[in-house]
Amino acid sequence: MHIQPRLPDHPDLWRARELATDPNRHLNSTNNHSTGFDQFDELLHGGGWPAAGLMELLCDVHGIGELRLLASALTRVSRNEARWITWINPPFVPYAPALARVGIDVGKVLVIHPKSHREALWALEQALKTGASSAALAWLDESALTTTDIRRLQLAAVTGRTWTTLFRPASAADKASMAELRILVESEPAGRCDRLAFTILKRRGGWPTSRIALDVGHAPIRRERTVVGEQLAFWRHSHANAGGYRTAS
Amino acid sequence: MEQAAARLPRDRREQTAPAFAQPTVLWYGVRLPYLGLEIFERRYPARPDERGRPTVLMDGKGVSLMNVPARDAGIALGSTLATARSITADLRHFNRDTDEEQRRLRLLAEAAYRYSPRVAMPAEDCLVLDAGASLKLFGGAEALAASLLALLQRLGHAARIAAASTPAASMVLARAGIPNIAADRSLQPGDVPPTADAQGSAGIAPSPDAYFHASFDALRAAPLECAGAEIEARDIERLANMGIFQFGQLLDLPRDELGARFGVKLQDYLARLAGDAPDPVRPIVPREKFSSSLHLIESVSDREALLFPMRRLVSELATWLSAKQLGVRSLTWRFEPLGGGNDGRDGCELTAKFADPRLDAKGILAVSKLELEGAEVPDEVMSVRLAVAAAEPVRPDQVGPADLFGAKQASEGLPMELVDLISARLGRDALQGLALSDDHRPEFAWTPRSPNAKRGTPPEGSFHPRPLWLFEPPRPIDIDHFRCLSGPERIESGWWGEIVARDYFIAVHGSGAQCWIYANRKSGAERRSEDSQNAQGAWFLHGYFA
Repeated sequence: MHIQPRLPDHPDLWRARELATDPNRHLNSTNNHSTGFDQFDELLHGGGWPAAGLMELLCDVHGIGELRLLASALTRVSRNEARWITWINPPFVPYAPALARVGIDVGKVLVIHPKSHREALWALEQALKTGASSAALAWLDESALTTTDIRRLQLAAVTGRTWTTLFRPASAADKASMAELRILVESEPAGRCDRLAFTILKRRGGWPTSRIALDVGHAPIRRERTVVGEQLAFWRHSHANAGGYRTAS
Repeated sequence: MEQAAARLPRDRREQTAPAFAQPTVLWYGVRLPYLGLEIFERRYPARPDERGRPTVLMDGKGVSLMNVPARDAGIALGSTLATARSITADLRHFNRDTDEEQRRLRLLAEAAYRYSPRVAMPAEDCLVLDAGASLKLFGGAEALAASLLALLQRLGHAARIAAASTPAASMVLARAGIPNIAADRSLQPGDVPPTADAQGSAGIAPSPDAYFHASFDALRAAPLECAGAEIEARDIERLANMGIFQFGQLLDLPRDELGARFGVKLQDYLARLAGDAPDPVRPIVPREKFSSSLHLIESVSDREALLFPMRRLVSELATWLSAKQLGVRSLTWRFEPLGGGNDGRDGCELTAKFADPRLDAKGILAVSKLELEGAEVPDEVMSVRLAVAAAEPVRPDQVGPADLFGAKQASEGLPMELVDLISARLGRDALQGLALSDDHRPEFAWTPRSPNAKRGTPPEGSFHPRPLWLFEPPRPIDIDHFRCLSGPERIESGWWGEIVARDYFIAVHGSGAQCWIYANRKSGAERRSEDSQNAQGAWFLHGYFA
């Protein structure tokens, strides 16, 4: 008798409106996590990142804003849910002060360092299907990753109601994938660091898009360029005098 | 005396209900007819082909207990092993182990402790518990009996339950196999061992009072053999010679005269049976520590097969935990090889740790299983032991059932099951939580934290821009590949330890990555002591503004 009221929330229940191209679908943000960028939300099914499902971010260069893209939703998730935000095999250290500055509750961040690809896959699947993670971010060994693995992860993400993001290199765009959302992220060629360009390769309820520029903002810069220039000149000068810094490459 | 206060049903019939009812006394007698055999079944990994094999239990006088196939084959109680074998060649037999039976009964009594604080084991085949005060909590007499039966079944025992107003009467009814509790269906009618013939059914009774009426009527029909050791066999025979076969006949006789003829012991027993005299059963006190072992009859070399005894032990543990309202934090498994480690082959010990106190058998087993996968287990395991190394009381909200998706509801804590699972398989080092620490030096402004550590109030985050990715250690770079956007931010600290004296810049790399780079400089103290012209440094990449 307790089941019935919850039935509409059950992840295995398929609803016809999941596929419908409802013009107001982005307003229905109860299911998905808004990205924090209106321009982006409008393109995504359910008005945001999949709250229960697997998405892929294809990205070759670190540091072009790939985490900032997720930050707004991660912040909301970490505030609203008493579940882990699981990072599996991150390439660098997720820096707690920066996460806290964005608004993410670092106490809910769980970082897992597996020793092998098999362990990483196992840990990720556990993190998803136990329902213990509100969000999961994973960096897996691309050479060992198979389509079957991704299919399993997608199912596990739906079962555990976990927003799962798989980071893969851009070369994976040619490979088939069962992820429900695939986005290629690149830096803007103009070299503007407050923007990045993304291409949606696959999405629910829509066609792939062409390359779109997105303003992700660049909060860090506060100082005037002139000050930077002066300092830089000072440093170059002092280094030239010392004559040593070029040995480091 | 509560027992004395519980009047016999006949007296009660005239009474009206009291204005406020004192806790009802309702004794459940639980008889475990196959206990002697079940302790051996427990040691065997269950094989489907052995289920139907005739099995007998031997004591000094011959066959003392047998299972249904053996009875169907026509083996009689008390016959010798040779006779039994001549009847059916495919016979399994065990020698009775009364010590183990008592240990097992004690464990079951502790398992039943969750239903009542007054559980006793007054006879070698019976438990009694006074569940009168627990009826409301468990949803009535029927529901409680059903739950108790299910529990015993999970632990591998068939049982008969009867309810009565005195412990002695409840045991007689349970032995007689008179089902006055509807839930008592665990044994098929044909399964009742031939100690007594059920004489009649009192039907389903809805309230404890009704049980008293029903149990009293049923008690009168029970044969005297159901008294167990309370009436000596010699006396039963003498009474039979007098034409007295059932309790009803005996209870109708004047008790003083019976006492004069058969001794005060019988007189006293009848008084306790009828509730006229107090029956001070001694309730058990649950053990403070849990430790249980299983000795396997055949050695096990397969890990999958080891799960069977492990599951048994864990389910015992779970009943102990729930009776004590404890959650386990740390467990020790011990696997002893053939020969018990005396011939140089050592057993192996596993420790399973839990971030949160756990009391669910499923979760405990899952973590133990993962620990087992990574362990070096002896080739031939003969015995498995489980002991609790650390347990602590659990909050009521942790006991509640998990919700539809397996996550605990209304619990502020993070789901620690994941931490347990991952650390059991990948090791404790593979997991890391994050915490802020109050330090200006970037690499010391965060610390790894054990995911199950208690969270303190975090210090204020920095107001300066910080990258989401940090490099540890920083990478040496060639500054020519970077274009600086902002800076510098001077960080100079750590005179008490690792001195940091750096100017940080935000820069963009040719690839489009936004980087946090710094140049080393000499600290003020160093500069004062040396020639200021030599203030210099190399460039390092310390993070990405991802």
